[in-house]
Amino acid sequence: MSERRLLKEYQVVKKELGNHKNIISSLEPIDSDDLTNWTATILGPPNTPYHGHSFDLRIHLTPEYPLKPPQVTFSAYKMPHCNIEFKTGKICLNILDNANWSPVWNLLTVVLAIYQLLSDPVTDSPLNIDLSNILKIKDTSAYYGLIEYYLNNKSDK
Amino acid sequence: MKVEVKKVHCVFSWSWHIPKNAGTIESGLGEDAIGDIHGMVHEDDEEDVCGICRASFNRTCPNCKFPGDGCPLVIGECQHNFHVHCIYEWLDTSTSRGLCPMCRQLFQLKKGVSINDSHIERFRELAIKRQQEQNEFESNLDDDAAIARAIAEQEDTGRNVDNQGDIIMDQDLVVR
Ligand SMILES: [Zn+2]
Ligand SMILES: [Zn+2]
Ligand SMILES: [Zn+2]
Repeated sequence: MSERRLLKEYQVVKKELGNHKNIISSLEPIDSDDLTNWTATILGPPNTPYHGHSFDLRIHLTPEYPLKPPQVTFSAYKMPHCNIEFKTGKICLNILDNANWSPVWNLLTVVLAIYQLLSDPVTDSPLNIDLSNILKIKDTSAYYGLIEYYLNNKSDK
Repeated sequence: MKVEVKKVHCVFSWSWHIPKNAGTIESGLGEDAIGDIHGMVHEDDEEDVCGICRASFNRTCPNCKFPGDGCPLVIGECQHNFHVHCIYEWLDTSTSRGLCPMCRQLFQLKKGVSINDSHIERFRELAIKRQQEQNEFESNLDDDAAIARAIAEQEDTGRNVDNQGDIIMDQDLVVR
């Protein structure tokens, strides 16, 4: 849409981000002159293998935003998760699809939904087949073990 | 004391009259994840804002300069309000599927509301466009299903099916 919509977005984020301190440690434009490219850092939810780690997101708002969803990815080779492609950081989440997106959502709701995805992996639409298969057979210790292996070795790539 | 009026400056303020229950109507979709996220959007808005552009209804949509008649509101059958320009732009995308962005019901202008009157024709045209796309989409699904069935049948019976989904019978007849 326009610069004015993006400015609103910026104000909403600044105002409401404090309410989500335990979830989102940062959400801001990469360059304050350009409100179309953002970064976010979310914290690993408690009671998941991600707890104690933090994860960076890149968010790009196309000129059609908010009529089309934002493009959000994790950093490549950083995020072992059923619904995230490890090589690219691509996220499979219904609200980020054109068909399910609604323009009443905003950057905060999107980032919160991605945080929720970390707690609730969906084995039906996997982008990481290995993790999904382990999760399907409910082998929790292998699941935790594999994710922790990835997370602790992520700096190698 | 004698007061003499030398000059009068007229000042006025206005705002849209927005029904109290607007925007709080329960959708028929139940408490799915989308409903939860949706609830978060509006938890602490002090004034009524358009859900699409997030500007106050008493201001303009992002593309207009003059509020009021220049950038009016419309009310949906579902009781959700938007700047007419914002909801029109949304419904003009095929991804909208003609649905209200707030409650995901088919968006229709509420009948018998005067501010909707001048837009009814344009919105009806849009709705028809979306409906046609939807029909096309569904018939494509049907075609895909038919092709899948035909292929499954071919595997069963050894008949040939080309990639259009037409069944090529032994006698070289094509059955669509
Ligand atoms: Zn608007
Ligand atoms: Zn307008
Ligand atoms: Zn609605």
